[in-house]
Amino acid sequence: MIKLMKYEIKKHFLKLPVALIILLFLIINCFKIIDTYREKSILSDDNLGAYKSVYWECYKEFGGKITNEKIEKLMSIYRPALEKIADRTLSTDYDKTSYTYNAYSDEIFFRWCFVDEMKYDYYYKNYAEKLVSEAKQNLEFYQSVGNQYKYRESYQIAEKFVGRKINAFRYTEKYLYYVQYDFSLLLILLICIYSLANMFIVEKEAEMANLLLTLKNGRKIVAAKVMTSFAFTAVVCALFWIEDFVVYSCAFRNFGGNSSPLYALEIFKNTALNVNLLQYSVISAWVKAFGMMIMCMIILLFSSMLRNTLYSYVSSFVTVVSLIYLHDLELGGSRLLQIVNPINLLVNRGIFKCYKLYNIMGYPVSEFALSMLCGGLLLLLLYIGITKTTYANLPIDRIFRGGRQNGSH
Amino acid sequence: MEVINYELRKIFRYRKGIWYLLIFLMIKISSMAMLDKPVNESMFREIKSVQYYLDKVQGKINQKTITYMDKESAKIAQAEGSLQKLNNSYYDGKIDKKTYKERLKPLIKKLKDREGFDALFSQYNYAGENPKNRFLLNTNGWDSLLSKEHLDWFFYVLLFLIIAPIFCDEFLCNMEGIILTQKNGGKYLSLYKIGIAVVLTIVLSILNMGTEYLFSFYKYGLQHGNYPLQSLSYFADSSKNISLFGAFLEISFIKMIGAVELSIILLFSSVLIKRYALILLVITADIMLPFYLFSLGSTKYFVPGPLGLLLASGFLKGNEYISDSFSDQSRLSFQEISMLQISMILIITLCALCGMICVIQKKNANMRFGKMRKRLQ
Repeated sequence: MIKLMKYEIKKHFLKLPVALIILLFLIINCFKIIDTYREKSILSDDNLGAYKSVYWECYKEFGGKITNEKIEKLMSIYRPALEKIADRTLSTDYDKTSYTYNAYSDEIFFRWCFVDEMKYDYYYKNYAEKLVSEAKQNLEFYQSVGNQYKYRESYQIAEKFVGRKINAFRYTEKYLYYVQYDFSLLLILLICIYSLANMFIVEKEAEMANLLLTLKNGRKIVAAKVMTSFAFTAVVCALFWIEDFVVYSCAFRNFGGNSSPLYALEIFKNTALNVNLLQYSVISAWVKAFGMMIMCMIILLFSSMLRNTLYSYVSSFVTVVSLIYLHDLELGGSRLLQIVNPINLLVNRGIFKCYKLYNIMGYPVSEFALSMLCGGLLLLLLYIGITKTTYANLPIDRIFRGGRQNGSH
Repeated sequence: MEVINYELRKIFRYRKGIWYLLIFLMIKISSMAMLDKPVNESMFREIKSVQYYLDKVQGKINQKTITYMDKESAKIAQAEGSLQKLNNSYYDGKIDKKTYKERLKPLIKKLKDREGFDALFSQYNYAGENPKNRFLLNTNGWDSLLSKEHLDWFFYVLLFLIIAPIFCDEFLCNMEGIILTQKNGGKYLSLYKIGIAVVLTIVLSILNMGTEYLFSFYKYGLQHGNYPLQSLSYFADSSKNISLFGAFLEISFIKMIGAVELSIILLFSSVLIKRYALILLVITADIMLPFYLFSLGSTKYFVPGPLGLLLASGFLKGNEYISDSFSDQSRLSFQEISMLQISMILIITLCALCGMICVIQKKNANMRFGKMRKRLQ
């Protein structure tokens, strides 16, 4: 098997065009991340870049564990600025005593960079406690009414949110954009379509497909091809995700913030995961890789079904694009359609953002578990599909079957 | 002529091109019917009352329009005020139910067209900012036709399926050697093939744009094609002097050039690369990646490749800004492409196309055969 895989790797992936395209796409990806930084980051030159040094000085003072002294000190800077501009009559000229340019910019600078975020961090504890107490009330209520499913649901919510708090204020902007970055997925999908679309077709075009199946190890060919494709996809994914992380860290000039909890990012306010940002990145990458395997199998299915690279490429491409469109459409109520869509696993922040539970035979099942389950089933179905299409309709298979039948009679 | 006949038969019958075309049309129409949403939803919903007002004020804003709109808005405001008063006096018990109902009737009649008027009034406000080239009309039809910048993947895929095999199929079954030795093979045949590809692409893109036109025409109606383009808010600050219908023709023309460029690139790369997967990857990446890559909206129109021409609507767009609340200044998010730049892009594209056709011809030339014949003579 290992030998077969080695041959497959040599045949399909150890080629100059593949290497060149991966390299080119890595460069494009890098460019895109730097562009994202320039456009979105508060501290980029297009935004507040001029006050970067002020930010880091203030961060030294206010960053880390949130204490009352720090909050008082911050407010002692922010409040006067707010009062000064309250009636909007202050001159907009340069002000020597200000931290940035004048009181207007001071107010915005401190509000955007420190006050809002610190406020969120500080009050998250109250938010979580409120959720837990509400869930506990529901728990008692549903128990008295005898609604088993709602009781279990409330219990799970209370369990997930109990004891949550954000102790420290950290610079998490890098993670905010890193967890919402999808461009590398598109690049990986393109690479996968390109290199896997002719996985089964090479032999068909050279009329070798039938011959291959008569060989001693011929029957293992599907497994070998699938495994090799997985390995290749995994390597490509790893390459891109390591690049994403490293380039993001370099672009934002920051390797910190790893130990902040995931819910320190406001978009993950209602997440079910009690992990820190670095752990989340790893979990998300695994889920993405799993989603990518499914996409891989879809491409392989087309490759095994069709006899021409053009058709298999075009069908894979159309399928991928349609799945992406379907995912973007957010088809109102039919959330179930989203769960089945493998793109949901790739762009997985939708799953982790909020804690949605579904009633499966009276037990609350999270959307994450459901998506993974659907993904697993899909993977299995696709594998069966590929084996069926590769072995079916081949004369050799009929002969095999015919022989066996004759023997049994 | 026979060659053309054979090639067309190969494309449409042998490679099932006719089926792809039919499937494409089916998908295109059904996806438009299902996914198309009006840009101005309230105007679409209240089309009857909007049309009632439009009949009186459509076109350029003049003193008459202003007086009419002011009068109508005062009327509606007054009716709203009286309704409020009437409700209050009813709930306070000052009047009985019968009188309430009697007085309510005329008010409701007056307020019936309020939502439609509101929809038109925002359009009126927009047009009032620059009444010289912003006219009043029902914008939904033209908006759905012109004001969008999206990748029409089904059309590109149709081109892949029909154009890519023109040369590639022969490489795939190793027939190019035989074709080169034929009397009508080589340069002669490849010129025919290029011609067929170009003509087919033009026909297909006319078909594509025609479908879109007909769809917008039947769903929203496309009246007043002679009004200036700036009447649509998508093209608000455009400096181009062109009518709506003229803009549609220009966009369709640019899109057609884009489609022709896509086809020639397909042929060119199939002659050079000779393998489907790589050709298609190069082209899909060339279309897809620049679309998502740049934060400044207009950059993608300058990327070498067919993307800008295929999108086309940005060529007529004006400058666009997003406001930056920190510095109180607005930041450019789309830079207008000037007429000079558009013509430069078109000229460069045409030169590139000619260059590519020359390379295709050269690659298909049967040099040895020609030389041998000369020597024999």
